[in-house]
Amino acid sequence: MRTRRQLHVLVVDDDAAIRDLLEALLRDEGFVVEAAGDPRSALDAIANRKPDVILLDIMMPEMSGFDLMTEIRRSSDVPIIFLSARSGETDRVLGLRMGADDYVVKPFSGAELVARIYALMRRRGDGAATAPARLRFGPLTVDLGAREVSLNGAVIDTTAKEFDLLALLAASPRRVFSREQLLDRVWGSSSKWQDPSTVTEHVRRLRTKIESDPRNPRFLQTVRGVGYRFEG
Amino acid sequence: MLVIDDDAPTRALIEDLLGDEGFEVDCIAHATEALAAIEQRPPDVILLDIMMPEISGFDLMTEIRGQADVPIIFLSAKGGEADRVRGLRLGADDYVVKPFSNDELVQRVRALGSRRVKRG
Repeated sequence: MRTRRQLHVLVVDDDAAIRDLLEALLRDEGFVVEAAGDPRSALDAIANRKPDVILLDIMMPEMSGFDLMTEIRRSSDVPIIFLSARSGETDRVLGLRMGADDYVVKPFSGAELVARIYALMRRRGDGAATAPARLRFGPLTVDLGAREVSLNGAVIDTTAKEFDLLALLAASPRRVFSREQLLDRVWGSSSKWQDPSTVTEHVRRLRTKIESDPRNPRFLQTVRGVGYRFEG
Repeated sequence: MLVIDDDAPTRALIEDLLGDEGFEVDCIAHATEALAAIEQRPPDVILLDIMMPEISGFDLMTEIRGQADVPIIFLSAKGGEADRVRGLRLGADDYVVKPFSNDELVQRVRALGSRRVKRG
């Protein structure tokens, strides 16, 4: 499975606590994160490091986020998400009308913010955004970059094919794959020359590793007569 | 613009709202008609309800994504964090909770259109 390029996120916020929180959250998701506490540092980072996306606060002492976005837009069409405690409709509409790509109100959900970054990058056609580096589903984490599966923080031993199979299913929650499709996508094979029971056996083995009750699986579900799907 | 929602007042409201803003708006009440409509005339943006009787918006989006790479905004009364994250992770471009601000919906549609232009 291909390892994706890391997305570079620039956080612009005068509040050090928010910068730290965002840096921790986004680094944990596999992003490269740079933080700027003032407009000059932000413009310098944009000119020199060309981030993939900017998270921009609005209420800053030296220059408002609205004004800074106008300044940024003079030379760059980098995607910008306003991240602000200003939650009123007027502010949200103004931010979007001025050219922001999204507007997220503080306090925000970390999971939603990350999902919105990926949605934005996906629509901009950035291949790096096709799948997150780490897929998290409650106690289960599938780290696509490290090719590592962990359950409640403990790393699970998986074979290369078991990992590829789980990663494929987990990257498209609820999408049903037939055994033939899985043979094709994971093994590069076909039911003409490989028995689809190979898939069944790998699913069975994965269930014993990641499910608390393999006979009543939470994650790897059988869709009778069709195939399998991952329930996140 | 294609609006897929089983609720007639919502369809009428969005049709008027976006029509007044200069968008050409088609509305569909039944999910089963949506795929044919999209194939026949691919819209620039789809506004998609989630709680529909025949098929959920989540499942319909998966079907649409198999057919066309059209920007999709979920428009739903399901406002919980889990639903918003699920919708975005499944591939939606935006997620707007009902009841929504008319002006904000218009701006979000425009922002999405702008992303397409930049992409392409």
